[in-house]
Amino acid sequence: MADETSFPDSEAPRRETLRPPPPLQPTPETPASTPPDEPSTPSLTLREKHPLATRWMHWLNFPLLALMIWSGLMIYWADSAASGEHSHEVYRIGLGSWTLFRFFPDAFFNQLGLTFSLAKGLSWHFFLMWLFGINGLLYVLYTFVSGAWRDLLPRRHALRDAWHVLLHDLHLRRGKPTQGKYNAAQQIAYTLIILAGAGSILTGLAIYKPTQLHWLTTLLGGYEFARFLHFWLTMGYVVFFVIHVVEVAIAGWNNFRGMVAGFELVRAVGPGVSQEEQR
Amino acid sequence: MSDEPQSLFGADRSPQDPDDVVRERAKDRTRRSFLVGAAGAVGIYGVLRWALKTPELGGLPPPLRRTLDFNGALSHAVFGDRALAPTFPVSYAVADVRVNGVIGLDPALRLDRWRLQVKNLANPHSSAHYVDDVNTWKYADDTAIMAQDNTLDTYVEGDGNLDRENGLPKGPEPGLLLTMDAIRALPHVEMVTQLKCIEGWSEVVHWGGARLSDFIHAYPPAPGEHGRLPRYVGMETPDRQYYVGLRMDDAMHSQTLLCYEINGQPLTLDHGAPLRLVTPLKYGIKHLKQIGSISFSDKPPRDYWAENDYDYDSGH
Repeated sequence: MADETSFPDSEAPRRETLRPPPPLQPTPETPASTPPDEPSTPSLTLREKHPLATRWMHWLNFPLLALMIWSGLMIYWADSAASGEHSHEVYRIGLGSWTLFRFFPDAFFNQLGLTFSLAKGLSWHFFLMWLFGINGLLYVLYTFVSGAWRDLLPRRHALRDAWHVLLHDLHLRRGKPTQGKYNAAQQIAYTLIILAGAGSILTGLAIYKPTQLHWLTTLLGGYEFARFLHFWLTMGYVVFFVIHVVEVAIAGWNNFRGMVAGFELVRAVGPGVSQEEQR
Repeated sequence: MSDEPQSLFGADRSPQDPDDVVRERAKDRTRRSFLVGAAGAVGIYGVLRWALKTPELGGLPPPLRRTLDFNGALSHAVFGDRALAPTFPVSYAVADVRVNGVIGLDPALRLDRWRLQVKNLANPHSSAHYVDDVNTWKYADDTAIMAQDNTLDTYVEGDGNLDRENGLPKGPEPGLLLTMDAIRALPHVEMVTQLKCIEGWSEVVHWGGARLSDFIHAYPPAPGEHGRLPRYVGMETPDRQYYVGLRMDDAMHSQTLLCYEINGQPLTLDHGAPLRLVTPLKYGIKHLKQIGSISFSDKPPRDYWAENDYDYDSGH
């Protein structure tokens, strides 16, 4: 999913280590084969990948979201204080009176030191919400104005392509669908996560001001359902985070560095093959 | 994958290798980016640490307290007093309303010895209920209730009657001592709204009482700045253990009640008999039970839960 390099990973080291003889067609692919005294052009290039603004907003979002979840759990503790009461209707897997699984037993809060901190949780949550919201809003504006949204918005057949990407990543399918900067699965994930952010702000507002903004709360299914949505969107972030980290680990250093330093190293595969065409 | 490892093992290559130049540039940029990122992280952490360690403001680090106050002011600016809490049919109201707070509540209060102390009025002298110092009024406990339940003295923390160290001015406070007759003389209002607790639970309750705005019209406060209504209303329990502050526009809101009935019945002692505050645009922590005194001022009155790190506004 996060594999964004312009050539398959497995080929890169092989090219260098095997040092194949000069190929028949004139490609600058293997610089070691070029005599050092002969002027040559580099086959490696730095390709700009993520703009500075995107990188800052991406990394700022990580502690912000983590602290939002941390303070949110303090709020959930107060809501879970009386076991078996109201809160357990929301933060669980179940239907009606039947419950399969409750998310937050007392031990969970005790272990994480989140007990008796409702006021702290609320004050942090309603402080950080501004930073989280502003960061998200700036990201959306920037993505729109810079045109980066074109890389991010899923195209036609995105679902089918995403499925093929998934099968490929699970080693169940050879070859990946053609892609631009991001593959279809990434496009879907990165678009959904922005929609989820908007959803968190809307459901958050609905449970922050359920009386003054009661039209919004009603629109989102009422006080309890808005909480339910707010909770499950957060669970969605946790799932996204886990998959994202695994994919980034698999995609490797070149890809990760792109989100820190902004560029990736790419190798021209032959004369006349431009970077744009590779994408 | 990365081309970085090859540059580590590429010592056999000539330094003129153009790819190595690219790799060097990549390494430089990467190093610079990680350093800037680390500096940014340390900087943000440092600013946070500094901001959170400065002397607390109302029990909270200043940025958090200021943001809560800003949020409250913003919601006043956005909603003003136009927002109305949704109302429900009477059949939606719960029969057995949950009791969640007992701070400042005297469960043995003698209702015939209850008086509402009203301070800072415009012209108190003209009233038959005028006294030179409302704080001298002595509330009393029902000895029969006290005898029935020997745990009660754990709730009653001193009689508090002349507790001048607990938020009272040194001098006498002239004002009125009203009985429930004065409250019942105001237009009666019934309202079915949802009480939301800041802990998360909520209940639809059928309230009955008088609008606080009607009370303020009937007993006009001494004008505040520019001859207007004072900016705040403060309420305290008879023992002054629990107290809330309300902005005047919240107090004048048409759904803010001096409540004396639940489900058409007089309040029980555990729900704040004989008189409590109901303000459905605020969390339950503002719904002070067993009102002992009402005062007016341009300065924010003390607020029990705001002193315990909660939002002063507590609107929802």
